Amino acid sequence: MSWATQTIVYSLILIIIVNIIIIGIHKLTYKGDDE
Amino acid sequence: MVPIIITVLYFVFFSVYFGLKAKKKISTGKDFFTASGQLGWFAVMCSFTLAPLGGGHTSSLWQAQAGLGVSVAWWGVITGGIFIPIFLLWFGPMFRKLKVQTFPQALGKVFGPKIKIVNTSIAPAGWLGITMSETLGIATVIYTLSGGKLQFAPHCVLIAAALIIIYIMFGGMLQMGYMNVLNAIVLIGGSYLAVWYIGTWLPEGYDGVAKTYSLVGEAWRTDLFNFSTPAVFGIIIPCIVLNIFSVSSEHAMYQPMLAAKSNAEIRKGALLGGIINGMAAIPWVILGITGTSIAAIAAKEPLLAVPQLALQALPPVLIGVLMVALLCALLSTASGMVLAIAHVVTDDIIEPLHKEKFSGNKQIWIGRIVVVGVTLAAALPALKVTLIISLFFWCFSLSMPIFVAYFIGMVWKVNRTAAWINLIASLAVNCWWTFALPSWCPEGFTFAFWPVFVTTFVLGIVLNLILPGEKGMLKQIEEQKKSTLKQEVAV
Repeated sequence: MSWATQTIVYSLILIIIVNIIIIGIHKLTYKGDDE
Repeated sequence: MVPIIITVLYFVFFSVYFGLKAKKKISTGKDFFTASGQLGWFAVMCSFTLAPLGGGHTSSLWQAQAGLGVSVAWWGVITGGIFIPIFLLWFGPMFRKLKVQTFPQALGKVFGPKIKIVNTSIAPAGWLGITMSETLGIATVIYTLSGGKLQFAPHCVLIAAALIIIYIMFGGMLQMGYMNVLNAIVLIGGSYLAVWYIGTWLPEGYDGVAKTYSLVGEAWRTDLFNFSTPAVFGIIIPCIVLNIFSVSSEHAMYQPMLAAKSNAEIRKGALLGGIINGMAAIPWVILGITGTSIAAIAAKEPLLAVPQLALQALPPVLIGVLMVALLCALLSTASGMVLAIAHVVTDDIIEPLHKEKFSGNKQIWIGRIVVVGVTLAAALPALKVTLIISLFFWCFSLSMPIFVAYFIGMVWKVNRTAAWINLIASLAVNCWWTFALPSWCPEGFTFAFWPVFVTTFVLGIVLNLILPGEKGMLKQIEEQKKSTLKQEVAV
């Protein structure tokens, strides 16, 4: 895998992992719809 | 001229098409500036995701890679991974609870009308600075990718201003929402297509680029995990702080929130929005690194690395596609900023000064005139600005204390004295660092962002710990809702 492909793949994986963690935290702390 | 023709045709055609479509659905100034809750989750996600892109995700990164290598890609990873989901899951829905139309109005609701007036006066100036740098970026892209056939000033700057105006002129936020859905796809598709094509054009593919750097002892340039001190303090930490605490005070981020049908529609886009936003930055970094590995390109300014590479490696049609992709990022941000400034000027300055309320149609026309005025105000001084990144940092430093005060007031404590001291002291520190940098300032900390960051956080926390205040605004809203519900039950 070239450095360019690595950069794309690793960035995508990192974004997804961090996003899922944050969405998980939101799910755990969400207290219902607020509108 | 083929790339310029493709670019102008693309933006003029779709701006007019979506503009006319949106025009039929708007009848008041509120519709023009916020689309009045007409957008579904995908359009909201695209509008919001493209709003903070601009030069920060593209040209400033391929400039910065000349010193920091591919580790500048962390800017995209952090923005897409952290900022986008935090904003869409918490900050956006939190703002809607205040039932206001602009960010200065939100600040006014938390801390009183005087602070709203100050914010209305100062914040648009900072946003105008960002618009200016985006306009400069758009003009530079047109100039370089046309191979210098058009004069930078006034031709490229005027084309940039015209493209910004037609992006939002007809239907405002709704038009921008439609445009951004298409542009998110074109931005990702066009930029990755160029990365793939250049990979096939290079004699040894991207491995050859890595080899070139290895031969001169600079293999770190192609290592994403090269956490050098400049990368950590110049990209990673500023990216987290600036995006979360500065970009979040820009009204352009809240307009897509007001355009959403509900909070649920905002939250739905967190993951996909994060991916699009973050991954939008990566191709420009890869192209920048590749460009500077070629001696003839490396000898020129880093800002020219990608345009020069494109002119050497791509056929005219693909240069056009790349130019469109790049302008999707720059124009969405610049137009979003212009629309946000016009909204604040119209709603918080012109309307309060006018004694009678304007009719719906008149509101829209005033909005359009202000859009043109704001674009010109950004385009004309853009001719004189040369350092995009310094301008970004200065403008972001201006808005950081505003968001810190707002956030504390929303979730923790409302204390007007603490908010005022924080805003004034942070502005003073910002001016000190910008206009009279102290001689003892260590190298690497010359941007006002660092002292402003320390000042606003320390004051925000310490003053609110010492001084008494009312409960946070979210708590107050919750209690108010409960008491209204109790009264209704009692009746």
